[in-house]
Amino acid sequence: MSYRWHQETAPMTSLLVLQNALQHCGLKVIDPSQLIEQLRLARNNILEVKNLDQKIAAYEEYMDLIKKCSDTNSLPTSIKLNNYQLSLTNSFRYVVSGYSANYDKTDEQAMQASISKLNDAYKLIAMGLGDEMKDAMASIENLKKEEQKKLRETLNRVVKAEQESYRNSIKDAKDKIFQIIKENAIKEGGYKVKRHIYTTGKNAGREQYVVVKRS
Amino acid sequence: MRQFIRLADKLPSSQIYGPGHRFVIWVQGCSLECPGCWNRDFWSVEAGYTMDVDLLISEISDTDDINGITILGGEPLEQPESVLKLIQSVKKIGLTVMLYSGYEENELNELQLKCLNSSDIVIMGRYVASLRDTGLRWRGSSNQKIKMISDVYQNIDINEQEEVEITIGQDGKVSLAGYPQKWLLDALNDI
Repeated sequence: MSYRWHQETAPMTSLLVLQNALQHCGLKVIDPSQLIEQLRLARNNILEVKNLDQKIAAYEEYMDLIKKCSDTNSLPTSIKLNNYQLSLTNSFRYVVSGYSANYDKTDEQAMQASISKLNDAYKLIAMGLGDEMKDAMASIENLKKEEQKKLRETLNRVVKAEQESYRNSIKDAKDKIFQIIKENAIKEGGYKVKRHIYTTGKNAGREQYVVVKRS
Repeated sequence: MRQFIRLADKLPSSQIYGPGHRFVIWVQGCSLECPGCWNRDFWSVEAGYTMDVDLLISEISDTDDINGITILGGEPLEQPESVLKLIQSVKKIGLTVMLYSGYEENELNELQLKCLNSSDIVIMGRYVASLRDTGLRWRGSSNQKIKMISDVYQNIDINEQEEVEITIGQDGKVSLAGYPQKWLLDALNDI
């Protein structure tokens, strides 16, 4: 008996984090978008170059790319991997569909495990953005003082750029969600949408919309 | 002595379960099992998780910018000792309490009545599917009554309105509270 299945990824807003997560999970992107490939090459280049000036130049190149992935428009509509394809069917989630000629759950289970690993990697990388650069900072003792300063300043800028890019991608996603809700509320008639953004304490960063219709 | 409460869920701040911004606690377990209930997952006493009431109180007191707490479920009055401790403790730190119960006042024992009388607002009565009205504020069906126990919200204007709340957490997780209409569910499916 044949059957079809599909699996959704967790919400993903940042191409920078997604590319890093794919690389982290060892998922090779076939026929990648230009930006995905550029990010991969730039990240590899940082690791490969040894000379300080080359290293700084590699970081600068990486930072130029980071700026290009700070909104959800940079997410590719489809990502082809070795065994399957991720399709951006709604605004911020990828869907993987599959088909099995026999009622054999092995393919489905393998794909589920793979997506779950990608979701976890995405979350971990997003939470620890900048950690990689901080690790790099900790290992620059063998340089001269002047050189250390120069590299440290560059690394600090990279950390800030990565974090800012991720924050902007989330902000962009939230703005789109608000827009979608608002447009639909107006279309339905009689509804108002109140937006509240938490700025302090443990709730900082949470966003709440209340859709109201007077009876 | 440590006291535990069985919970289904909690939301650190909501604007649709009572006046102002409130920390919302859904307790787990309800023997009333009203037909058509929206929270059937909260009926079983086996599901959910237990939490030390002191820990919950400390989490609430660490939450900024809330006016009070709202306890619903499940059936809060089926865990009266823990609920009473929770109510009394949060009132000591200046928060108001809104309590939901599917019971009527004449069905309550002494301890349950103490929970009710220690709250500021109580929403009482079974959920009756045939009387469902999404245009009511804070209630699911028109038989349910709003009782002002203390005078804190005595003069509040209860504008009847349909309310749905969409929250996006720091991690991008979207959650929904209230009684959403189909158009909103469809719109959110596109997100």
